[in-house]
Amino acid sequence: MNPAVSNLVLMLGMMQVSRKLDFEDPTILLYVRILYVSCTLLTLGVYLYTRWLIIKKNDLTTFKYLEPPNTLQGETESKLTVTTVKDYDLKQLQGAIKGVFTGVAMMGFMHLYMKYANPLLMQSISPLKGAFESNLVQIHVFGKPASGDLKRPFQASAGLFGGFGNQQQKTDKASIEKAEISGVGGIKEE
Amino acid sequence: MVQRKNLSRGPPQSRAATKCEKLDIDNIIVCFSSMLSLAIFTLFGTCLAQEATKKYSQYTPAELSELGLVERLKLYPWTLEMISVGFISVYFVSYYVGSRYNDKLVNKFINTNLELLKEQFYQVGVTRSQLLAKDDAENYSFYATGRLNIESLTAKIKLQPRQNIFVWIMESLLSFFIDSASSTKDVVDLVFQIDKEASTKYDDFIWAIVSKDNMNSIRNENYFLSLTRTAESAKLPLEFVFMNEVPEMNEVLYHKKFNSILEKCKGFLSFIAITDQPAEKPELVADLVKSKRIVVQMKIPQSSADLEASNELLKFLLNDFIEYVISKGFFIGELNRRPKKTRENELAKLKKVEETLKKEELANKKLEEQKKQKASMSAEKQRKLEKKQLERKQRRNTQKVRQ
Repeated sequence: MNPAVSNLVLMLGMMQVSRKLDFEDPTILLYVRILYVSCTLLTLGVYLYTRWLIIKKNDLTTFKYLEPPNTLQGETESKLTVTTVKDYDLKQLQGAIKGVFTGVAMMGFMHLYMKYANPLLMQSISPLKGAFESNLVQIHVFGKPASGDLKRPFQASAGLFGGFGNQQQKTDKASIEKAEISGVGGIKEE
Repeated sequence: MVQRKNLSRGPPQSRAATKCEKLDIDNIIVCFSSMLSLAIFTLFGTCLAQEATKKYSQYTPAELSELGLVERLKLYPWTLEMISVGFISVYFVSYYVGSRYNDKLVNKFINTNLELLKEQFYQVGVTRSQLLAKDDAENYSFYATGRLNIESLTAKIKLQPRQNIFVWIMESLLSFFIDSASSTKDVVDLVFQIDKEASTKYDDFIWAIVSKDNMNSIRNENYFLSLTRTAESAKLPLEFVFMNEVPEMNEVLYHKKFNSILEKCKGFLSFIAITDQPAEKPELVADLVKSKRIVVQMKIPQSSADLEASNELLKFLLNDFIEYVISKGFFIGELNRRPKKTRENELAKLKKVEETLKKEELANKKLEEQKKQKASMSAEKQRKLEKKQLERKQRRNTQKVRQ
């Protein structure tokens, strides 16, 4: 099933469940908290295990791709990235781990400061689901071949509403050849 | 509660007293830190003792002035002072330990290679009497000069800020969450500047062997590498790639000793590059000064095996490779044409940038002059001028419409 669709189904289901639960009850609250913490730790564990697998595999195959320009920072030309499979995977994974921490920070604010308990339930399941559906876990933990949708560089999934304005990475040879010797490195930073 | 605290009044004071006696016995060898801890102990003891009876803040100023100095000192709650002094002493100790560790790393690296450098260079060290220049606790410079074909060897060593434990922790944390914050590393940059005479003997080109780990950031940090193409090769150990302007140069420049040395250095070597272009991207035509160099970047070797490998690498560079490049590094035909073309392209780019800058400046000047003229004119004349300009604009617009 499409992850976006299953996410929606999960969200609706969890909403029904959380309506039945009485979050005022301290024992229920405790269980929900325990569920959240253990799910977050499990998510982190899955990512760290993948990280360990990546480092152990040490796949040094190099590949090149063009990153679309970051228009928010006023970049106009796409930038070439030359990297190895290992470096690329580690970078993607770091992004995912960062995402988990951001989620925890958001949740901390919502739950501890704003005193919402509902999102705890939702936020405990969906990151874990996301972790198991992520490209890296699919490749390294489940041993799926890195081709088709799982071909590096990973394309951002279009999502439910279609990716409008979403520029994709380029891997065609002509544009890489052109960008490779463009001399964009070594820019002095103040 | 009160009773228990009253009971505990005894021990801390008496403990402090015995320590004080001890202090009297061998007060010559008491160092700063032990005195500090002792002071904290005594003060802590007195604090505990006084807590139960009446707090410092409960006394009126008149009452306080009636008490003697010693009594007042005993009464005063010293917690804030203790915490701050504690922090400062932790900082001092960590500064000492961290900067000593950094010193040790650098000294080990230099000492391993000192004998070789002394063989090769006339002057080894930043001055005749000083080997290393310690710029601060994390930056070190080394210099050697006086050898055939080499104008100078400069080594810039940048270590982690171990001396400043708080900054160190902050930087390592930030580098995880923010991409632009560079992670802390121990980096050695060696630059063999080729002298003028030898520079004329071989061509302008860029040729490098780069470690695959973090090669994208290495490319981004060094302008000359971003002018090259990256290619894997069966010649190299798996951990390295070639970055060069013309792949055919590998046949000539890849010295047969490289294989065994790269194999040994793969744990710490970042890149070896022959270049005539700067590491920093030039912004003006004037910045584009050719200076032929052989650049080596590595993480500072720490284990004895790595140190030995670094020595072997330097030995190879100084004994074989530099002279090898100077004698073999000239090319004909296509091999020569392509690097030249890259340089011409880059020069054209810079010229274009400069031209647009000049145009902007001229336009700005014109505007300012017009403003000045306007300001010097009388009100009526200004109105007339504005009218004229408006008419001119309208005429132009109508012409455009007709076209």
